[in-house]
Amino acid sequence: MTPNDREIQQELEAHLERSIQDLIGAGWPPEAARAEAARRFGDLRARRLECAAERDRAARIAPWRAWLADFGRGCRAVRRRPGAAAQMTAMLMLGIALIGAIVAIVHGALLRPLPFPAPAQLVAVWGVNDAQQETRGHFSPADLSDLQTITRRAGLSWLGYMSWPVSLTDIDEPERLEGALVTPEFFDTLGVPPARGRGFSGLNAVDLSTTVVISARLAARLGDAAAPGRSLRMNGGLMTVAGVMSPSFAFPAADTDVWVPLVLTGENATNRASRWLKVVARLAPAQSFDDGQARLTQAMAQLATAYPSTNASWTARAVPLHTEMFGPSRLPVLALAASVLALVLVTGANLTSVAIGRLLQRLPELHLLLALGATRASIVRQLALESGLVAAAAAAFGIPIGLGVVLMVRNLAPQALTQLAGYDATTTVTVVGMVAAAVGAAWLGAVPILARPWWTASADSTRSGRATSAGVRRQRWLVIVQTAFVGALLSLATAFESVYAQLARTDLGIATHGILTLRLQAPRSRAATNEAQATYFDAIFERVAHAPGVSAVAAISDLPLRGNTVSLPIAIEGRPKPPGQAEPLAALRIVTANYLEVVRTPLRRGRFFHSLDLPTSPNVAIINDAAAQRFWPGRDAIGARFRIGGDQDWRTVVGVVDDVHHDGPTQVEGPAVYVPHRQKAETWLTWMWLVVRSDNPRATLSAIRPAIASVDRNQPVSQVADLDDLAAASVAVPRLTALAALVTALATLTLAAAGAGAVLRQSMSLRRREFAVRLALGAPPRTLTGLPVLDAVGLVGSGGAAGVMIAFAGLRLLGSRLPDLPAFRSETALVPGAVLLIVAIVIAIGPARRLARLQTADILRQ
Amino acid sequence: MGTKTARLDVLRGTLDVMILKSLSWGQQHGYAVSRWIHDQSDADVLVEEGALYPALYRLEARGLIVSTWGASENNRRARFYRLTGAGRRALRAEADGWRRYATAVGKILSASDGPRRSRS
Repeated sequence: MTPNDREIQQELEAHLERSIQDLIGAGWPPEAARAEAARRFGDLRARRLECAAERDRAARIAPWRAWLADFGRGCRAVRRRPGAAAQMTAMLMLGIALIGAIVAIVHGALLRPLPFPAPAQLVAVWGVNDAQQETRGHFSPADLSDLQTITRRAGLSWLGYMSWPVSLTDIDEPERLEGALVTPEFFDTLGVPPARGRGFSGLNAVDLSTTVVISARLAARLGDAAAPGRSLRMNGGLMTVAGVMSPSFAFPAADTDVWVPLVLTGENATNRASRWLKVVARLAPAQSFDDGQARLTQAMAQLATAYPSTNASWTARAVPLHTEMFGPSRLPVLALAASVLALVLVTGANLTSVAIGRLLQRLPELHLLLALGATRASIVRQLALESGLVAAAAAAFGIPIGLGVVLMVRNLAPQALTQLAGYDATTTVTVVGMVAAAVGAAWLGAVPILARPWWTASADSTRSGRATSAGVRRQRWLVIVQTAFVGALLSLATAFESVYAQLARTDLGIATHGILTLRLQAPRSRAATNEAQATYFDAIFERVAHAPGVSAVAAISDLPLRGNTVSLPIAIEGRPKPPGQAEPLAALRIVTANYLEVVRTPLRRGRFFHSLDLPTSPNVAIINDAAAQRFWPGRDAIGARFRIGGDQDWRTVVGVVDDVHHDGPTQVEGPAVYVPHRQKAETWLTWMWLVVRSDNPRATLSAIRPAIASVDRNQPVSQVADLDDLAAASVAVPRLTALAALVTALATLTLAAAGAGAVLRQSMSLRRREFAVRLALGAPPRTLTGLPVLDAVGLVGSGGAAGVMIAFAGLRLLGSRLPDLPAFRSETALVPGAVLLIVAIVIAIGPARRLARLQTADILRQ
Repeated sequence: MGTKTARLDVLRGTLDVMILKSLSWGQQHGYAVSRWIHDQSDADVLVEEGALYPALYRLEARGLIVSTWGASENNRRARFYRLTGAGRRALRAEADGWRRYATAVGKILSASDGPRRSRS
């Protein structure tokens, strides 16, 4: 029998005993009384077992009942002080949303493994030529083919690709598809075969020239017409669909819809001077990166020895493909992560401050509970439950907000965070949000435990007062820490903002405003000769020029800000190539005669092209300033002659124009040569970018479409963009970085200001007696109102100064490792100083006005 | 069988509300509760005294009453029961229900008119 059972037994026996005594008292004989009492009671053993069963059940549910009771008390406490609970919920919600969002963004844009088997073995390979200051050179198909052969024994496999837009015709409306011209080993090297049908390996040159692989997106759009084995009319020829990729395959670009195999025949097989393939290599399994790089250097040295006229001084460097693809997002994402980390720390400090404030407010209640016999553990448990409620509410709102933040960031800067495109953030944000909520709840619950010595002190008023001022002192330290973070974030935001502002102000060398651009491709039937291409394009230019709303029409082969450049070897008259060195390269831009005037690129010397620069007249060119400096240093380039690309005859320089920022304001342009399209020698260059100037570029598009269709109804109107938008996109990364830093700095500032305001109010109310005494001694009320301002400036100022110093040290320390980081300038310290000063004054206004109304009598009465 | 179970349930509910009522005057030990019920009902309600204790333990498990050991009027060790806030609320609700039930049954039993006959 357990002690509990014995207690039950005792209780029941006591009942029987009393019953017997009462019956005897009523005159029953003892034996009869005993029998009657037992009859009235019933089966004692059965009742005892029933009682024991009830007691066991009660013991099982007792802990739950205690939690439920605490939960009820927690709910009531939250209802009694909705302000403090709402404040904590809002802060925690902000923290959860931002942590969830930033972890998802960092994961999606930086940390995700590439969606290929053994992704760590894939490297992007760039051509390097120190003499030409080229570090991201492309490769000729012939060189790539040789690299494949040379490194095969070492286990390397290769792929090459270039952007290759494809016109899809013989459907309702012709359209231009994003395509890629790829080497036949493309899918094998990546390790991803088509989901349906087959890839290119094993096909002979004849089959390859009529085969394509298409994306799942295009296959779904075209339905049965695009099933493997069916034919589609692309770029004027009938192409057989060999395979369809899986929906998740997105290489080289997220919007690639067609992969066209590159057939190594004719000029491709021998011309090593024209370098236009981007190259990726897969190292052998278990081969180290350094070993791969060494093999690569060796192979390039062999090529340089074998083909000195084209390959001398060219070597190559490998970059992990992951770095290559995710690298551009690195700085904004890291800036975002650092800012959000600071924000999270500030939120933590603020939460702590609010939790201490809540304890202070509730000191009398807690002391009463302790006096009534409540255990400290039960009070801590109740406070922890309240924190749990707050955290649950914060998570319920914070997680959806976090998902919204990811979507917003993605839509705000699609160009800066391309890797985020197909990324589903739901799981990451939810899991991280839940963890953050749990940590928040644990922290809020831990504050009363960590702070126990002072709130559990006895309830007498002096010690209670001491406890309160100890709490406020802790809060003041937290304010200083928060303001330090705010100061550092404001400094960073100012620095990034000034970098962005400088880039946005950069003169690109072209007037982007009011210009609409789109891509045109000469169809196969009109592309056989340069003459045929020029006639075809001129007909389109002519029609578009007469479309309503159009004020000028021009065209260029490689549009600025689109990231394309065709670079070809250039030979200067009277300057033979030194033996053992490759010819220098220059960017070749085929333009209409009026192009440079339409985009308003300033002319430095000489003349622009004119309508008399025809195929029959002498070949002319306009060069940029960089070309003039590089090829004709110290002399006037006008009248000088050179040959570029496929030129048979010398070409005379008739003008020198300013350099343009062809690849955006962060990139400086190298030598570039403009050639009138009627005099071009490159038959393979079959595309032009139409450049249309008008007052309202977007509205003009509806007039341009029919103009183009009237010349060729199969010419798709594609890749339409305002030049202004392209210019904005080119600074998307610095803009996103600046914006991320600014938004988090402001969010942090708001939080910290709210926290500082609350602490200031509390400090001032603690000093009310002192103020009353001062007033009673004759101090004019005006003198008191300055106190909160001084206090606020002191608090915020010391924190802010520390923050600016942290930013200074951080930029100095990291600046050497991250070359993209901005420098620390005077405004980096002045702007945060000014902002924090204003904030200090604003938060001091309330307490100052309250002090101005202070009456000694009121305080003494209290 | 079904009828018997139904009657037992009613009895159990009845016993609970009677115990709560007896404790509404202050804390009592089990024997005092059973005497109070016996006396108040003029001995009409016959409760098997042993059945009182599982009911007391059950009410305690539901948080409606709490118990402490103490000394009885003749200085004997006894377990005393008293109502909790929840018990007081439960008593009000149960008592209201009982009164409505009793009134309704009373009305039916004192009815002077028979059920209407319907043609089928």
